[in-house]
Amino acid sequence: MVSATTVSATVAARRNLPRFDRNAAIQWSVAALTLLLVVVPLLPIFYQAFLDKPLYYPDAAATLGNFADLLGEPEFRTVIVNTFYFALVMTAIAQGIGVGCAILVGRTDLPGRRVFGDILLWPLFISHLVLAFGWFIMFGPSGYITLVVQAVLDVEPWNLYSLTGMGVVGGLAQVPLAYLYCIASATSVDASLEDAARSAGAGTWTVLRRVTLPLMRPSIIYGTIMNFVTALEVLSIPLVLGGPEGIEVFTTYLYNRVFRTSTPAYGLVAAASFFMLLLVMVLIAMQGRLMRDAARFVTVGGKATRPRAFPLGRWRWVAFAFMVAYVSFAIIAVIGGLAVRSIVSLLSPLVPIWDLFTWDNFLTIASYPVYLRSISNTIQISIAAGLIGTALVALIVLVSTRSPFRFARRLEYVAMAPRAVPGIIAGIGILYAAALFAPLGWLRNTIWILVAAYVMRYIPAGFGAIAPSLGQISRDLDRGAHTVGADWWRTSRSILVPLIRPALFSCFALIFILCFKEYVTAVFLFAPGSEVIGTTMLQFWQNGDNGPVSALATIQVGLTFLFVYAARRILGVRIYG
Amino acid sequence: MAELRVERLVKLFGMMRAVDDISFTVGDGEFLTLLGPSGCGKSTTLAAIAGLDRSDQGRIELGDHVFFDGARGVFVPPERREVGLVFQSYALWPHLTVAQNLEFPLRLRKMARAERAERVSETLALVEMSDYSSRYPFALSGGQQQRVALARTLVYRPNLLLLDEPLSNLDAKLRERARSWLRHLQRNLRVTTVYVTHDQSEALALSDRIAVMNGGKIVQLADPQTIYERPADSFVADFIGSSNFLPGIVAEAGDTAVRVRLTGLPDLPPLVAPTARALRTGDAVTVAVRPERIRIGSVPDNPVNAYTVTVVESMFLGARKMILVRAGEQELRIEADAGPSSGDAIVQIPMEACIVFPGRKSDGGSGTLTIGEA
Repeated sequence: MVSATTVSATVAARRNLPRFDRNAAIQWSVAALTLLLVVVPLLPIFYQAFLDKPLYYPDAAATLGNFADLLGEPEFRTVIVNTFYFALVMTAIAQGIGVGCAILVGRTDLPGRRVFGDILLWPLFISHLVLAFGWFIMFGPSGYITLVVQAVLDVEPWNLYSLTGMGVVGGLAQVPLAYLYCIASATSVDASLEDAARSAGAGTWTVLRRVTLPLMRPSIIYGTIMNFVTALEVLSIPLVLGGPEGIEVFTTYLYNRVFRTSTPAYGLVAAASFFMLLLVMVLIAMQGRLMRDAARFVTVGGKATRPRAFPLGRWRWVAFAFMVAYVSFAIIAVIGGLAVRSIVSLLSPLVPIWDLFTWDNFLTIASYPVYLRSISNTIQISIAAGLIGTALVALIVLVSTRSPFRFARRLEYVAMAPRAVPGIIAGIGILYAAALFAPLGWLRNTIWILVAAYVMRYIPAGFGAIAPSLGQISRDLDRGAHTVGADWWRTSRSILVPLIRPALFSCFALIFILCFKEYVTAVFLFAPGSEVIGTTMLQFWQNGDNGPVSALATIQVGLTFLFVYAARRILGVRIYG
Repeated sequence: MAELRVERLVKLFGMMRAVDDISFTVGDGEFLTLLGPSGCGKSTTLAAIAGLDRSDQGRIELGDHVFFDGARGVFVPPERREVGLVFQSYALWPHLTVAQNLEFPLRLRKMARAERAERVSETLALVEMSDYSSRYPFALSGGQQQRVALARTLVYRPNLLLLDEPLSNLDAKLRERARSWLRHLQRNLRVTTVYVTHDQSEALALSDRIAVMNGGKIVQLADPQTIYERPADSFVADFIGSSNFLPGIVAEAGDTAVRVRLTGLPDLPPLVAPTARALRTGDAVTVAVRPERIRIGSVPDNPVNAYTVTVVESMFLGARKMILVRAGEQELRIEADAGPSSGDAIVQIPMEACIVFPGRKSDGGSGTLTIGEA
């Protein structure tokens, strides 16, 4: 069968391939591009934090004065106290309700738990900005529900324009994240561990308290830190609800120093950003350390055992009532309120809704090219960032987990670094970078600066969507391809990429949704011509145009649900579990 | 075809020497098996030959093609080695059909479409899988997947065939059939082959030569019969087949034979055993005897090494009987067609069945008394 001459001829031919190694070239390029994307927004902040003048001044000199100024400002101390109080309230509410919902939906015989499980995730698809408007319209001082309750009780029932009010709104907005982290571990608890406790004489509550909850501890800790970090990063809720009363937290402090002062305090903003970046990095590093020995809690064995649902007994309908109340007030009323507000000229319990019906809000949007452009920009940016981001993340995952690249592990660390970069910091950083490097200034007025910023922001999310799926593919499959003569790049293209196609679709859908609702980074980077829905909504709101804000928010929510539905039907992708 | 030469290969995992300075040559068309318990370094050696792992020192060459040379910093990546490797997991690409799996290596070699089709069908015929060319791997049984995996490596006519426990995922019956089929195929193709397994019966049945490995070293490299009959040390005697290990002291040393006084049996005559080793009176030794070589019940007249023993237990194994007997502290396992189930019996250990190793089995540290480790 084997003819010796042809074999040695092919060997000789293949041995004399040119010395250029395309694998190394691709691996180095991917690593360099990733490093560039991650470092570009950070370096200017570090640089500016230690300069006495704006960084584009040629005579700027090194100083530590910015930090002294920052700590010397009495309002900065208030800001820090405010921020921590807000973050603690927000995290406590989010985790308390989120973990409770995860157990109720995942582990009990709660009626209608499947439907609740679906609705609970809705807020994840919607930006905090939209949610903040929704809360403002329904529960604000002159909100619809506030007024209804006030008419009945004859006192002001709550004050959303307070740190506690903001914290509660933020917490309720973050319940889905806490729920999402816990639901997987709640439903994957090894049934035999609970059965063992039960046969040892433990009752339902004891099993829940002593076995089930402790086994969920890693997800609870992970979610708690994630939500605390999110609380530090969120801009819209403090801006919309704290702004009118002048309550400042870290993000609004930065926002106001950049936009609300006649002379932007470059050094001060950079120093504050530096401080915030440090805080978030410490938290993320802490999370990494805590998760390291999470193997202790890994309960998924080889056998698939479906855990038994805890019977709620007579508490069944109490739990049901709680879930209905939560879902109706915190999710449906908020989103639905925006939709209703968008088709009336005024939303008030004193006037019947149908008397005030109007299409004017939508017509306002249709009549100004700027508003329409912000919608089409948002769609274009999300598609572009989704495609480019998916391609880049796929390459990063292939290089960092499936190649002999020397700095493979380090590439993964770099790729995960944006997790610790709040959107507001990324926005400020790229803004400074554009002031410093001329070529970036050229991007400044196009949507591509936003595409680049978004891609950078969502590399970690994409990594999380692709890496586990690639990790499940046996290394023997690539080894097999290598031994039959395929190099790394050919193996990646012909063997690995086809096998992770579903994960690539998920990655695209996830990045698309994240970009579609993103606004924080854009607030600092948009320019005439590159507006996005979020920035336009903020402009409307600052002018007091609540109708068009609601109409735009409704359009954004509508498009989001259309996309999520299409992704499920066409690509077979379920974003978030 | 080509001859494979591995010289002074070393692979470190941290402080551990997974492959510790091993050398061997596989002749053109030869079938060599690397045999040993898990963790002995056999798979690491195979990975080094395939190029999946970079070794730390040594040299690997196939014919005049240097794959690896630690001293000169030469390392040829696996895709440039023209070597075929069959994985224990088969590693068939699940998104490609059987024919597409075979076609992939040919596409890489820029072969024309017509020629590819011909080569694929020819190779599938060789492994008797022609009817399955449009199936996907998940629709095949383990034995069929194994054949396709082999076909995928043969299709591009590699200069060297490497097999990493290819039969271990098959059930026992199928494994025996696949074994004889594989042997037949390799003999016909005359492709130089390195086979890795921990299954001694597979190694004995298939190989031209066997390299028994332990602790990263080759402890014996010889043809199957020599390995079985004249194991180089107690580890090999134990790992290949099973052996009784009888501790004792040399009572009298001759040029070609020794008399060994067995521990705990001072009253019985010493055991006479042949040896080529230079042993002296008083040396501690271990005598290895295979259970099937010991006679029980029917003993010839005027026997050497005949002892009276007590039967402890007798187990029926199907074709044969396993009889456990005791004399003083010493226990013997005997495999025989027939024999007593209880009471006293006479056993005889033929002189030529005894292999004497210096030292004690337990302090040698190599291997244990468990047989056929997984």
